Amino acid sequence: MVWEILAQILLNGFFTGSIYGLMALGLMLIWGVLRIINIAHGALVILGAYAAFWLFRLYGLNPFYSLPLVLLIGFLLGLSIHYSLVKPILKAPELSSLLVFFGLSLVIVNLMLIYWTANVRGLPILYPSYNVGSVTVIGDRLLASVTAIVTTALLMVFLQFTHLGRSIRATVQDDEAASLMGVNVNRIYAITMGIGVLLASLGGALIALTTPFTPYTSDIYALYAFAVVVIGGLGNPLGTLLGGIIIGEAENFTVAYYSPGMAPAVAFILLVLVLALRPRGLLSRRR
Amino acid sequence: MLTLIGFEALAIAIPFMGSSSATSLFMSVLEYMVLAYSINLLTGFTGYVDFGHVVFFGIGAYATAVMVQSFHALGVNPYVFSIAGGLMASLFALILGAPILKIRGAYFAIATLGVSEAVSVIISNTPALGGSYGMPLAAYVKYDLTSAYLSMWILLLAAMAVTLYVANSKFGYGLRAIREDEDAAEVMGVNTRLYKVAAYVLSAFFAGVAGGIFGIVTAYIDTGGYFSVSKTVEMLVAMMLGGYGTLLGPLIGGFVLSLLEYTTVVYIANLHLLVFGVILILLVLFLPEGIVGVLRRRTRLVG
Amino acid sequence: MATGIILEAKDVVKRFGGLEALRGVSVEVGREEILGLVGPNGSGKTVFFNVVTGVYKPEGGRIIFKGRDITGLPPHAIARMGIGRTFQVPKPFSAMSVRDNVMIGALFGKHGAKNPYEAAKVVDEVLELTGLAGKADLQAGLLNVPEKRRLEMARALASRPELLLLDEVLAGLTPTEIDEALGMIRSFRKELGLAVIMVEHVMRAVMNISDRIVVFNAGRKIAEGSPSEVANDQAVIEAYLGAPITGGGRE
Repeated sequence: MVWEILAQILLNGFFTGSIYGLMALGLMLIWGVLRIINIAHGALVILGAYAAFWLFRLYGLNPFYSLPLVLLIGFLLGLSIHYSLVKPILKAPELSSLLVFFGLSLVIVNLMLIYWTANVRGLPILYPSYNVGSVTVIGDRLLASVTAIVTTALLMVFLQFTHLGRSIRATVQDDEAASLMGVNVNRIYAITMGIGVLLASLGGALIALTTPFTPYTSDIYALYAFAVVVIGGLGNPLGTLLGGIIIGEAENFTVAYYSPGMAPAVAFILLVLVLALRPRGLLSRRR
Repeated sequence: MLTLIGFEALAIAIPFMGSSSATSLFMSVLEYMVLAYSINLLTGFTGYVDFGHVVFFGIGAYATAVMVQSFHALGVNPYVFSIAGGLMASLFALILGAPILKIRGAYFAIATLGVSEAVSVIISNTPALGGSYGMPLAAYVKYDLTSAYLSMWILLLAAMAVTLYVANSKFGYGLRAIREDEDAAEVMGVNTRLYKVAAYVLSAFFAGVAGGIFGIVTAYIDTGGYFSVSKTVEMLVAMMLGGYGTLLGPLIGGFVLSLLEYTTVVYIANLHLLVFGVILILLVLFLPEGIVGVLRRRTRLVG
Repeated sequence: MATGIILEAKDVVKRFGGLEALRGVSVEVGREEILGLVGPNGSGKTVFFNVVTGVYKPEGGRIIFKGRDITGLPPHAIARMGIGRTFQVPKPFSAMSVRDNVMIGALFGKHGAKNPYEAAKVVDEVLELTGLAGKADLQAGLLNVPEKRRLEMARALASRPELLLLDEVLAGLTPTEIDEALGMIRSFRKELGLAVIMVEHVMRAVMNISDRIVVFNAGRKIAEGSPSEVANDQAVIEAYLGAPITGGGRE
């Protein structure tokens, strides 16, 4: 009995955790390549959730069928953010990008509030659940989790085996050296912003499928994504996935054994602790 | 500048003329100004961007509420307890300061956001503090807008006096050196750790007292209202708009923004935060020194 | 010239991960002495400065300043005891005026003034001495390179140090500017009675101004002596790949 409860908690933690990992991938890429902390990431995730939600509500599109459209919108949005907001401040102090993305987050969240209200939204249950012994496997969560893992794997293959992916990794290591080796760093920045926001919208679509959301949940997801990246490190999607799973498990164990209300505090406390132990940031070993 | 002085004179007189809706507008103007001075003492002088500054406002409100609940029988004016709220916020800053101020740049900003959300979640799960229902205070305090208003005025003047002192003192020079280049400041003899924590503690005090005063005047506090990220946004944008690390910036920025909120909130509930977001982006891209910076450049060109 | 020792570094070891940047170096500086510290890139000169000023904590050895062991003290405490320094890459407080930059030195150095009014006299003196008086109200970020280097020295001097560490203050200067800077450094010693350690690649200048020279190579001290002794030292010549260092080197 105890083991079955434990298995259920572990499974739930794994499912939510892998979605957290996916949701944080875009933040990790942008952070690693542009050295910019996209504090609007949570708002972009929730924007993706709304896209999947409205396409379902208005046109009856299953979120997996509407995915290509959602991803395309995400990519184009990322490119336009790059050319309008990021490019002008690439050389400016860190403070500037922080505040610009803070402003962008306010704009997105409050536009969503004004047009789509603060009502709690979510997709209905779309896929059946199974019972394995007394452990319940929720179909929607299983599919979302599989999508997260497949996406992480695809991203790793892309970074490892394509020319573009290798250029992105070189830029993560050292953008000056990459540019000396003939990488067009500005193009890489723009594409990374595109891919980053694309991944954010994918994460949003999976959240729409599995968890209720409102525009206000943006902040929570932004913080979760930071916590994931801080724990998982920069540059490696697998680390991000693991970071997500660590937080998912920590959260689910808190819910089960302590108090459901305290669950978000766990992620925040992990975040602050890791930062306090590595105060110079995640790339402090460089130089 | 003259219109501003005229406004202030009017503002002092308002509560004695008996119009309570005008008084509550001016309360919000004062709140913006005080909170902008508060965050300016840390972020404006040292460059450490605090995305969780609202935590001090919230802690001040909760500490004050607990004091009011426990000691209302003494019969003293409840607004006195807001000082305890400020001290509690400072104490929290003192404990948190040493570890968190080691974190630099954007990482510091995120860590402060994490702290403020964590404290909020913890309080809303603490039954002794009302949990997610919050703490009603109506049973212990009577509605007394004039006292609230005078308290805010005293707090604003104190915040201005402290800022004026800091700006021209050795302490202020040390803080600005930290903002420019912390490693160079340390090597030149600035005790950077001590100075950063001192600025943090000082700035927390003003936000804490303001939280206490607002808790009493609204007679009800909860984590949703007193730990909301949008309050931090208001402080940051007011400081940026007026001019970062200046004496008059928070006054001007707080004034403009609170009127902006007042006029937009009439139309659509969240419009002001949308407008603030746009202002923040435009400020960073086109006007990083804020209004005071522009005025200063103008006068230098003229003079 | 030297009337007693002001700084004594004994067997200093500094490692970064597996790399040994300093492998047990000992250096002494006398009061009012100008000591040249030379060596190829990566030989540990700047690391040595960072250990003396407390930026890095050494893994071994001791730093004695005016008879007191200062090993492991935080940088600000060491600065207040009377060690001033400049940075290889100038680090002016860019958004502050030249005067305010120097003011920081005067407020936080040895006998730091209590407030800006008290410090004003020192600031004016130093601005005059370093030839920056005319630029006092300019934003420090707007200065050109030689001026930024002079500002580095001005800030350090305003802290009223007894020992001044100069890290490549002559780099990038024209020969005329170098001569000016050397004159200035000599006058510091004469008027303020301070000792100087100069890390320098401009050999002609360092040979000319130093009372004594210490040579580092790969984290060790390989030679020490008067400029002419060091110039003819076989180990030194080998460290510089056989190039005779008088008059040549990197300029």
